[in-house]
Amino acid sequence: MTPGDTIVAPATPFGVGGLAIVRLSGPSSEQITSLLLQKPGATFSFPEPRRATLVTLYDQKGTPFEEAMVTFFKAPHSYTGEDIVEISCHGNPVVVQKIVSACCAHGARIADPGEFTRRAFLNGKMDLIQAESVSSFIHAQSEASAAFNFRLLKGSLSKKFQTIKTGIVKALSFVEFELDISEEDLLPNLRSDLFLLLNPLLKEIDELIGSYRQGHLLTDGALVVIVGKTNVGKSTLLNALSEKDRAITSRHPGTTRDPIDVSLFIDGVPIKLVDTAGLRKAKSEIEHEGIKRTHRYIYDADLLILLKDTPGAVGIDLPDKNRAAVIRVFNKSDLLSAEQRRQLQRKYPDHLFISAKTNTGIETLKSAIKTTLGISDALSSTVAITTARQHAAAVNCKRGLERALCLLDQQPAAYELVALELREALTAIDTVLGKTTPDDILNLIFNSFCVGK
Amino acid sequence: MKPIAKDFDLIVAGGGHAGVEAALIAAKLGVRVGLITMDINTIARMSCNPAIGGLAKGQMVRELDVLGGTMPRIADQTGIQFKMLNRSKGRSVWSPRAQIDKRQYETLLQKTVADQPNLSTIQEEVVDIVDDHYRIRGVVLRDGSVLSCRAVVLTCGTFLNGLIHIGNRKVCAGRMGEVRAEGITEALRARGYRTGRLKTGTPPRLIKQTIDWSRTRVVTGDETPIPFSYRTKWFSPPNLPCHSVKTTPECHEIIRSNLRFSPLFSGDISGVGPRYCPSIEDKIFRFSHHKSHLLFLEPEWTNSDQIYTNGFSTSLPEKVQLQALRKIPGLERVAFFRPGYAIEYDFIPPAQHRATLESKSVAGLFFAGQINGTSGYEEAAVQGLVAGVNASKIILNQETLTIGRDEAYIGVLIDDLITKDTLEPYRMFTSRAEYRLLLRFSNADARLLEKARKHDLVDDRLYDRLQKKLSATEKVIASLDRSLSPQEINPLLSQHNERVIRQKQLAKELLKRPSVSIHFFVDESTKEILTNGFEPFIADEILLEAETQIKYAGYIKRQRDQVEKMKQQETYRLPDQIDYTTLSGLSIEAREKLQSVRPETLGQAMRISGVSPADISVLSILLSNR
Ligand SMILES: Nc1nc2c(ncn2[C@@H]2O[C@H](COP(=O)(O)OP(=O)(O)OP(=O)(O)O)[C@@H](O)[C@H]2O)c(=O)[nH]1
Ligand SMILES: [Mg+2]
Repeated sequence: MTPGDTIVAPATPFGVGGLAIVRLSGPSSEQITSLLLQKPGATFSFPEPRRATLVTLYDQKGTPFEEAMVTFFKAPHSYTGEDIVEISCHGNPVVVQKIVSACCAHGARIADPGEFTRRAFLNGKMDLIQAESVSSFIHAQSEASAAFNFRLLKGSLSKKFQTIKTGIVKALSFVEFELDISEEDLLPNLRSDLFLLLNPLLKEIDELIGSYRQGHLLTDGALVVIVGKTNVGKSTLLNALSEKDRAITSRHPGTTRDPIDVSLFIDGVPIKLVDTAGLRKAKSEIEHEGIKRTHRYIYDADLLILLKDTPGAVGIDLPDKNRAAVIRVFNKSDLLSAEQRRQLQRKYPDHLFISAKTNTGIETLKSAIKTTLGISDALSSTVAITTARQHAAAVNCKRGLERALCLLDQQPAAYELVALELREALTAIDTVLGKTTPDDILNLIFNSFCVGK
Repeated sequence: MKPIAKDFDLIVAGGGHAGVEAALIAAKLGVRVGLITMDINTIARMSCNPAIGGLAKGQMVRELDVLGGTMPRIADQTGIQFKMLNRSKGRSVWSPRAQIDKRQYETLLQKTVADQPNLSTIQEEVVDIVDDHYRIRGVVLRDGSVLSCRAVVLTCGTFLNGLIHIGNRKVCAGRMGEVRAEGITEALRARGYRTGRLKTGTPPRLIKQTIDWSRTRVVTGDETPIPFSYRTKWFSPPNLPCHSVKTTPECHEIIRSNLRFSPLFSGDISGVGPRYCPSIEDKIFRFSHHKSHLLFLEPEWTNSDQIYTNGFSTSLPEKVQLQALRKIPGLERVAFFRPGYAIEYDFIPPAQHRATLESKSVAGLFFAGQINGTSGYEEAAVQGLVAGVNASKIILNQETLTIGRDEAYIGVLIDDLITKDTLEPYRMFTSRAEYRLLLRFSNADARLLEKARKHDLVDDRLYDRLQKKLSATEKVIASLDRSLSPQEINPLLSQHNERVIRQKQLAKELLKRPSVSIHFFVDESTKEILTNGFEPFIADEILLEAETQIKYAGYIKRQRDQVEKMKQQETYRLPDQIDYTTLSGLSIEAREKLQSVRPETLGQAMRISGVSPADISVLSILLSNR
């Protein structure tokens, strides 16, 4: 164990129950938590030990995001024998994930499975009787955790991990055959066979890593930006989506100058929605600056809502490098006759039709936002499949595969090194699928424990 | 019981490759050794293929050499064709192999045994052991006499209740024409040992004059052979050819239509055979899409009339073997000295032993070789050495020798044996070593020299020579820290179609390019380091090692880091006296496995199948509180 290293993890299973506990253990627990409890710059006194205290949690920008109970246990009078802070909050996976991420941003590390108990054990916090009782439920725990992992990993994600694993094992068997059995070159096409086998795996793993982006969106919130020409109803739409009267609207084009943002949840998914200055040839220096800012937001956005008003139906051109997903929307549908609408729909089949003013089509737009961000219903209910651990496993696996492919590109290919890289890729996958890996014993010792216990 | 006939410190039962290494090293360590063999003329006999080394095995032979083994030196003296296998592949899997003159090999080894002080050979048979409260006291011989001793090494090979199969013919024998050993299995079982049964096979031996050699393909060895032993000085083996032929569809057809006569298929054989060395009938049955298999015709000794048919191991009836062989071009009129056969024998599952190869239940009783479920001369020899050293160390009251998985293939072998279930004869493969890149044939000295020194296995002269070799390697590596100008090196680079350099660059960095060789940078100063009295093969090896250590630096470091992590697990010792069945936190399977294997360290426990990480955690909690 690295001295001075502070770990954090949810102590309750994800997505279960109305209340969740996030636990920190280590010398910086107090300091890290206090950074969550105060607006930057404000002075603040930390809750007394062993007294549950109601607090507000702030994100790094100083925005409050959750009310929670915080309890501090001072070393050595704690479960692990180290300073511990327990934060109990709503059982919403998004909130839990956000607290964990915030702790990590302030210097904590995500705990390995069973690491809390391991620390307790190493710090002599268990006598024989306690140890006996712990040991008898380790198995129950490990089964629960296996079931838990299985639930988290079932379906397409688990299948993907399995496919990758099977592929790597197969590739390894080729390589080892070549090294270990075949004194002659019995596999003349080994190199190309391996490319054929490994390249698709790389694609699979990229998809996996990509799926973590969704998890990140869930945690940090997606940046959704409304853009369009002046006067198309962007500000009105922001107000309609957020159900607040946040932005000034008027019939004069060029009303909005500064980008305006609001935070909202769509089915529990945090979203930062931004209304921008309408795009046209700027008529003043202020408007010019506003449009410049609009472009910056276009660049940063996870999702763009491209708004047009129907009678003119003039679009705008997006920059080529635009990485965000786009939803194209016709506003002011209330002004259309049934016949006009049919014609437009035929011409623009991929466009949504809404009226921000009369609040029609807003729900459809919301669900379009959600699906376009890649947040399917299934995903938002099992947000834990995109934990940092799984992400790390996928990234490490990818690195191993990439290095293996890179070695295969060299002449002559060093197959023993290819094998080494493939083994590492496999080890990475194994950490997710819960298989035994020959690793640091202390990491393995409590492997069957649920994270955080 | 007859009175004690003679007094020995150590009795080695069996004069095969394990037995001779055990007896010789123990005698060298100053222990009085009695080597008991059923026939002194068969000591060190190579009962199967006329070759030593090969993939992964060649590395073990090198390791054996550093640890004071005899096989490598004799193999160098009796080799008739040497070849570095896998040369086109990565350098950690380069493996030396040699065709051996079998007759000369056993002759020289028998002479070595005869000349060895402290070592007496007795032509007898061990049929039982004598123990006093699970401490070895002696052995009982066939004639009923008892030899007392303080330690015993059992190396009974394939002789324990050996049963030979040729078709449906069965012969009780340890090897064709040799009496099998009886009694030991029963003696061990009576003391609570688990025993098992394995099977292995050997191909027919053909008569040279009945082969049409003009229709075979000639296979020769390396022009510049590399010896196994660092002790070897004058090395110029002949490069005698072997020959290869290919099986034909007609040959396969004969075998296929006679499968039911093979005891492997008729169910007569209950022992499990090795999947990596299948019989020809197995190959044809399981890989029916292969139209042809390669066979090597290897002389068993120089000018041998007897030809070994490598790749045609079989237990089919004699007639069928001959019919099938005669469908192979070049073998149309072949006749043989003796047919191939399968042999079943008892083995003692080695999970019952410690990493020193001492039995966990009877103190002073050691096991080595095929009795531990391994196959191969090399696997047997290295175990013999480890058992012989440790039996001596116990007698001398000195520290025993254990070898880590990161130190040698020998370490991997023994650790696998004592932690894994033996389901088939165990053969070494490079992929069994998780630290393969560290276990090169060319750095066996760097890995094991200090250990050998510590346990008195290497004499001062060899120690000094190898020390000099290792420091020369360091010097060569250091010399590559020099920077080269484009003028200096570009001509050579472009000559080899390598990217030229624009600025000065370290030789070391250039050497990391896959196709750049250390020979690009050999200059006068390098030559001076190398001409320091080294044999040419040692000088070559210094360059090879220096090159490897630079080219693979990053990978070697990664593997070293992995080793460091593992070390902590290995040091966590488990107590000897512990009743695993009472540890309620463990899964039932883990309790059974741990109770039966009784691992010595937590590291060993982790590698036992059926013991989960959860069990390991329970175990460490429970035990640390004792
Ligand atoms: N009929 C109708 N009018 C709408 C609708 N949405 C917005 N408007 C009207 O269109 C005018 C412009 O609306 P804003 O929301 O201010 O437009 P904007 O796109 O923000 O304009 P700028 O900020 O100037 O770029 C206002 O008079 C709104 O009332 C709609 O759905 N139907
Ligand atoms: Mg506006």
